[in-house]
Amino acid sequence: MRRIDYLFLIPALVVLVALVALPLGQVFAQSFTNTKLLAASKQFVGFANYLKLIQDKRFWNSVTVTLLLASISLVLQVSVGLGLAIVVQKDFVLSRLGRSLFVVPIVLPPVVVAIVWRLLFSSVLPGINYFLSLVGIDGPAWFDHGWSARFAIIIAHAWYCVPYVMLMLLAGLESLPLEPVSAAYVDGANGWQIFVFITLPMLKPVLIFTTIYRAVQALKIFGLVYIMTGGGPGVSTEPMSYHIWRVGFAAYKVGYASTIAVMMFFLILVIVLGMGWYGRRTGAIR
Amino acid sequence: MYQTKLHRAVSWSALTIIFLIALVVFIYPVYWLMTISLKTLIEAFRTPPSLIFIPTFRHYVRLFAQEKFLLYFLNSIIMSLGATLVALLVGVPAAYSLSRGTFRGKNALLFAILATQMAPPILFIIPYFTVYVRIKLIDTRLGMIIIYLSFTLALVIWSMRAFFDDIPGELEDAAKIDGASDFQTFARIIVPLVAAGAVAAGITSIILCWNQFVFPLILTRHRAVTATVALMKFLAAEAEDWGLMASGSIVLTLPVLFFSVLIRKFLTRGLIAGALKG
Repeated sequence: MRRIDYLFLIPALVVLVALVALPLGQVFAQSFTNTKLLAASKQFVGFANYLKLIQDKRFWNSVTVTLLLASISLVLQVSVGLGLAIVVQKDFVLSRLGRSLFVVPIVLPPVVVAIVWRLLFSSVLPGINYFLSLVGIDGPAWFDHGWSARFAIIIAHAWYCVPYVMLMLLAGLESLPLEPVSAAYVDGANGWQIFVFITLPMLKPVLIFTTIYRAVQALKIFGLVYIMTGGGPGVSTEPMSYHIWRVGFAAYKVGYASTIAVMMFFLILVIVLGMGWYGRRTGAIR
Repeated sequence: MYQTKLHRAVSWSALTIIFLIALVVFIYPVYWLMTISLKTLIEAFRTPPSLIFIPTFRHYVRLFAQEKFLLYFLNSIIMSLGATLVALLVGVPAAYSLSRGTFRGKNALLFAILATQMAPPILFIIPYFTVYVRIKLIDTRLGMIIIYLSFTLALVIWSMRAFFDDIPGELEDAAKIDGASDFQTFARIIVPLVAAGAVAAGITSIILCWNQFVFPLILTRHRAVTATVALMKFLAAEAEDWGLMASGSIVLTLPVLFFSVLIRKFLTRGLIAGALKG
């Protein structure tokens, strides 16, 4: 190791340890205590928080909501994103325009995305329900029912993420070699067969990487929920991040909130490792 | 390639239909938001929404007349620039070492840096909040810059390492033969080559900071409130003020739009760099 490497690495390591590793460690340690926000006294309670967690219906509700929102949004993101990537990759008059226009949601700050969709799903402004009325459907008051509030959040979330997926998959598609496709044409394969048996398998590494990356983002969902529904009605749209915030900063139980946060971290880790393992097993990731 | 004219016409019209639907889905919401910001409230509630209307800038005037809105805007700017500059200063040399260095545990270190970014922001907020209250960093710009560093530094290290990896090692060998020290080689030869990349990484970092919501929501009260959180407060006001929210949203988006156009070329590259390396 050259001397310059120490000089260059140490400042960054100090910052990362102080700002990332120590806080993570503190949350882990705190998860075994009954710390209250802004209160001086705290006691070590062992695994009491974890035992409490197992029986906590509201915690399990937040896990279900997180997985439900994230998984449906992911399916939408990846399928629509892949479809659009294929459309704009075509040598087609409008595809160049599509590359610029379909990515418009990316430039919106997430807060703005939440506000746009809150307005669109509002029952007083002429948004989604106006368009539904055009085809004779009487739209519901979206934020008054659990299922429709979840639907609204999923749509808003997928809408914001699709362009990212499209860009990543488009870059993946463009890096693929052309020879296998031409060879398949010569052998008489049709467009659909080429897509399923040639393009899709070659795209798999990028597809899996994109899915893992978007899954991590989706599991952290907070802002959209905070602005669009506030977790309601009831707790029907309360994902884990939001639940942690409520326990820690509305009920001041920082110790217990840390326990949930640790569980959430491990949940994300398990999902990521699981997807990575799947990628390795199928040979898509080396 | 081997298609009949009819076949081509069918797939062409299918593509056009998909294209138009996608266009409406991705553009209309943004267009609609813009019209709300330019309509009177009565006009905004009209069904069907009128396409032709006399624009009014009253919501924008009201927005900037809001007490402290400019301060919140300034807060966002200072925090984004501060966290980005420090991250570049500390992160660029570290990325260079992580690209060129041959020490043990290099890859493990890189992976660890990436793995920490999987932790949800809410997890970081808990310890930061308790410490910030104790050392009086709560509701300060400095406090926000520090917590922003927890993600901007990782971003800079990862994206800059990809740029350093692209530079052939022969350049450094040549400089060394000419008698340059390691530091001179880095400062005079290598850094100029990655300057464009550093600007792109810096802009990405600025956008990321600008968009932050959870951190400032919980760690600020009055003084260090950011524009994103201020916008949300219009929503929490007694009567939801659509006009103010719409105009605020547009104003908040403009800087991101400007910077995104600047780094368009790098954007896709940055997104895909990790994927292709596997």
